[in-house]
Amino acid sequence: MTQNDPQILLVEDNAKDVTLTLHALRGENLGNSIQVARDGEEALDFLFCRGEFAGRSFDHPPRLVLLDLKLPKVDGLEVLSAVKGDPRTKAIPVVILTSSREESDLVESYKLGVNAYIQKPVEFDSFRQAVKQLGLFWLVINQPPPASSFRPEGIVEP
Amino acid sequence: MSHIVTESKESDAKYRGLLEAAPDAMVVVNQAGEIVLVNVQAERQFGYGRDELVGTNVKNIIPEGFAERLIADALRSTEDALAQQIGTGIDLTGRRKNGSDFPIEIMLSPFESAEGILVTAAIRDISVRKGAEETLARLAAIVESSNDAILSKSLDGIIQSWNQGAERIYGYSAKEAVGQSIAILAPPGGEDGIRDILERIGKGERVEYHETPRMRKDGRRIEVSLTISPVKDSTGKVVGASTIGRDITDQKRAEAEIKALNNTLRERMADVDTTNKELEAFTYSVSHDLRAPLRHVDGFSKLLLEEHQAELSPEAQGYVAIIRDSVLQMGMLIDDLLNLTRVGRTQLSMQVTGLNSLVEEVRADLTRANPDRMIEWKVETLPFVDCDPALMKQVFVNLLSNAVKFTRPRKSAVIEVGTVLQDGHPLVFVRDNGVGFSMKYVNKLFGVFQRLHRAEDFEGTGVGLATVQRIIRKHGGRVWAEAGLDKGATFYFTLGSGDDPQKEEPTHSGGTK
Repeated sequence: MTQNDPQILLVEDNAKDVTLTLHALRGENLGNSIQVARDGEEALDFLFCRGEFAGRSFDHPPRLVLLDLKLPKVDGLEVLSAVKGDPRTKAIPVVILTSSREESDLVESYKLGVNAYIQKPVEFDSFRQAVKQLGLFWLVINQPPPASSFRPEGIVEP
Repeated sequence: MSHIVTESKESDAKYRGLLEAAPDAMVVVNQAGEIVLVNVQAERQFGYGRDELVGTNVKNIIPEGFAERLIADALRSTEDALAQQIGTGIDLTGRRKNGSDFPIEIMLSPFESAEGILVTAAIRDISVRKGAEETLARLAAIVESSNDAILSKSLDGIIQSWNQGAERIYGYSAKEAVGQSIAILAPPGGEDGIRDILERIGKGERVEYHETPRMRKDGRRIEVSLTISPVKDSTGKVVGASTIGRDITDQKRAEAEIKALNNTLRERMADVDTTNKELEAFTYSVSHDLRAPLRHVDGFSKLLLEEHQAELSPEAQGYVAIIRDSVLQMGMLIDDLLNLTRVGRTQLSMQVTGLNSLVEEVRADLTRANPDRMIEWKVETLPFVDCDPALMKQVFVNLLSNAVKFTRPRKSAVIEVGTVLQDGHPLVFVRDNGVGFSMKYVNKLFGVFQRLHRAEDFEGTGVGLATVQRIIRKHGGRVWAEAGLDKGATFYFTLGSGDDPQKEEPTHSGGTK
């Protein structure tokens, strides 16, 4: 992984939420390597190394995707479905970060293989706390998936 | 007196043998009407012994219409009188020894004898035939008076009989219909159907409840239900058909109306479904879209306080604190409203649940959340009930957190949960010794956004009890409260079983009045 490869992909269409989330992550020195995608299509371009991100490699996936559900063009569940449905991206940890706590959204997200589901708290302190803990857990505490987890043949070979 | 045939012993015996061999009762009388000879059948039919009959007048056994016919009068000679009777079957009435009458048919044949002209009467008991005739007449009357059309036709479709019901339903009189083809009843294009039916009948089949259109004499189209059976002759050969037809035009119309109503109902249901889906989409959007700006207001005002505190006067900092407080309040309001609407559109997922375990979970949470409160909990043994456990827990969360909240001014709060029997049905109650409320306002208690306390004294959104009521009603139960100002409050609820949810609630209940 090079220094330039973002470690977190934040998929969030709302600029104010982007500001608040980045603010929370910066507080823990996690803010330096964040890529922001403002809609589902941009997120998929980044993750699947195409379009604007054609120069990227599948060998350097983000350590964490923070994914909003309600997004322009391609919504969060569709992004999740694409990521978890492709062997090249399946192992990337995806955390839903949304205002919704609709049961149907929860059910669908977990069925598609989401790694965690967080409802954004209204109170900023709680929100900041949640985002910090997420960042710390997935980037510091958690052992990331090894590179072989992203190769399709790795799945079929014993 | 005794008159016997005495021509010769031989001929007497021959004659007697003939008499006894006859299947009918035979009575021989002379012109004076005296019985001179009878056979065994006559004894049996009239219930007399032979000796009781011979020598007596025939009027004893045939009171009227016989003796008179034997007598010559001023207008006719003996020969003429007798000649009129020969071979004719006459219906008369016989009388038995016991006095009972029975219908008879007699045939008379006179003959010359040494003792003058005698008449032999062959007498047949026709009660069986009369009975059969009566039955037939009764059946004919039934057919005639039936509301259904009853008619018969030959296999080539020629109408042979036609009752009043047929006249009423089809408009043709019997005179007009009999002899016509049944095809006169077919609506345009319906002749094939009639031919098909006759073919099936010809094969000995029976057609039941065949619904088909027919045309009346006046051209009006009607719907009839027909049951058609083959009519067989004595050899079992099908020679025609009998049809019982019922006018079901009104019934058909009613059916069509019901069908139309059902369709309308289905459409309305679909509308309701759409409305519910829209409501769902709306609550979804409320949950997502309203919370986002709130989060932003809170987030940025917090950042303002943290990062620009030096630039804000204490007063300005106070205002920002108020902004954040209001945001939290609105956040709670949205959450509570979402809870309320969620109850409305959630399908109950029933299972037998011990209420004690629900109460215990809620009590533990409340104790953790209020570590500085002194609360005495008195929880009785509660029943196991069929309910949606998640929703029922919400009921206890709302009722018990209210109890905790409104006992806050009490040094020693007491909260009780228990059951009492009312009219044989268990009620669950939650009682506290808190500030209570005046019963004057009890009808507002369960209304959405209705609050009986000032926000400065007791925080709240006014949605909690509305949610409780909605959950309880969804379970087919009811909820009401008793309280006094500063005297604590008791909330009672029932759950479904045996309680009519439509039942008028007691006067102190809340709810929509």
